[in-house]
Amino acid sequence: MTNPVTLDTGRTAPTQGRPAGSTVITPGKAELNPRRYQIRRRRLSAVLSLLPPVVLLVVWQLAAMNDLIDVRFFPPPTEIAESARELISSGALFDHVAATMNRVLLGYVPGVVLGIGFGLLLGTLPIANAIFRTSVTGAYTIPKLGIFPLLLLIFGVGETSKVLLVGMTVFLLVTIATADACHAIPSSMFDVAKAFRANYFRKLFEIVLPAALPPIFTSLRLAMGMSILVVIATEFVAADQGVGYLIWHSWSLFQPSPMYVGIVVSALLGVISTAVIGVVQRLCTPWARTRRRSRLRFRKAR
Amino acid sequence: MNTQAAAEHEALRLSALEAAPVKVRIEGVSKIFVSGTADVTALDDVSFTFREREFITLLGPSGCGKSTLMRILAGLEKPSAGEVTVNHYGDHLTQLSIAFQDYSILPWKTVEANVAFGLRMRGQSRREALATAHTWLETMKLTGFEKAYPAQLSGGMKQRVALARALALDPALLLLDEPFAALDAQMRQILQEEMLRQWESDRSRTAVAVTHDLDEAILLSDRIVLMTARPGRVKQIFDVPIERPRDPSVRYAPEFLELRQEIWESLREEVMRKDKP
Repeated sequence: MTNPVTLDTGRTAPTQGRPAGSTVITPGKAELNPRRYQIRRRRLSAVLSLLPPVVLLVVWQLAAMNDLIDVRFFPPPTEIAESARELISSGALFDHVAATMNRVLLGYVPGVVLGIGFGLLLGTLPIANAIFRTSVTGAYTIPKLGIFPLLLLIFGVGETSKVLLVGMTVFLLVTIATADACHAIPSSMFDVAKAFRANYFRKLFEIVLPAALPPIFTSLRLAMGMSILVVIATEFVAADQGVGYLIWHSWSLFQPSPMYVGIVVSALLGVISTAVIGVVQRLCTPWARTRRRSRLRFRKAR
Repeated sequence: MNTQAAAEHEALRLSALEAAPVKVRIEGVSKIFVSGTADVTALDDVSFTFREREFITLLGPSGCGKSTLMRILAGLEKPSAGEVTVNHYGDHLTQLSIAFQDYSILPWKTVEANVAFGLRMRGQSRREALATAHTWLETMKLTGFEKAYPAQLSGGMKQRVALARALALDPALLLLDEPFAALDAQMRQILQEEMLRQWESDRSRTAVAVTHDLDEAILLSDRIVLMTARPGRVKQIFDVPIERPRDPSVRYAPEFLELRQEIWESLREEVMRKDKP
């Protein structure tokens, strides 16, 4: 079928106006050894994720050692690590973290459950949406820490006020996200429910909840970060244990090193708990493979 | 029709195609998709060549890798093994462009902005790109819808927009990935006829199309590459000995139906083979 003579002239054919050339498409690194490429890719992204904190620490350390920054406010990371070791070996750090996470979870779990429930209600019953939507949006906008003094007044300095504040924060965020997720469900899926005569509760659990679950999980991750933030802030003013207490107390005693330990620990708590929710999400929504890698890549145009 | 004159004309056309330089050479191309533990071989050692100004159609059961081959041609994917050479001749504005199936037109851009998109990405000024877009919208019978959003258009019109966007780039190699698959049967037939007229009025390009539609393949193509069920290999290459310009009524000509029958028998085997475990 192919004539080798014309094949050769094909490559050197004269052109009008544009330079002659050929594009040759061959396997790239990713295609030649796909498995090794994937593993290398994963390893690389794990290493890259550590880059910003490591660079920050190195720069900080060097700046502190060379007296470029005031070590009374910015002690060198080695000193902070030393302080962390002490806090860990004495068991104090564990107690602080346990106290904080205890408050977070006591507020977060009921907040999530009620938020999803109320969100489903708003998302499926137009009348409920009409009544509550504006109020929920308004309540969501109120700075939660702004009403903390009020809660302290009502419930005292105990655990209740802090847990309640977290619960409210989570509840409002998850409610809004869930309701929006319900409203974004394609109507064809409701047609399926209607056509096959699903009653309200079957519709809720067979159609609405699964369809809304992926965006709900996004809100659960955001809500977890916010809960930790809120708890730590409340511990600044009204606690004798917890990561927030550690930060604030160290500061008032003018001990910057344990303060930084608290700050780093709160960041770690956020990273770990968000990762845990990611795992739960993957287990709960096996049909929606989440792809975190950006799809936008720049290629040479041909 | 004078059959002898037609036969001579046909012989001339085919010899002209034979003499044309090679446009694309596909040599031993394989594609293996790696996911988890299971590898899927989509293409297995595919080789064929086609020449400038040919209209080639890739035909085969679904999952035979014809779309993958097209994506490799378009530079959207790389082969796992083998080599594809695309030779460039002539003074086309772009070397290649592609018309995807439905929904690849951007919903947030107006019709004219969608058609001008490729030109804008190539750095043309807004004005220049829109001027070209408007001439293609006219060719595609979309005058009056320049400022409309895709959501306001029917399926046939959206597909015309996608074709206009690909053609506006004046590509030397035009790739059509199941361009009419999302349309209803009537609209599909009409767009096939429009595509045929468009193609024959300006025979400066090379085209590769992917389709499931036998009639579409025969009506439009010079040659049809029939692929096997997965893993996709080239099973057979059919010449379409119907002279151009073709009238859409050629669909009912005996030579058309005969060829259709011949291709279907070969394709049928593959479709049946695919459904067996």
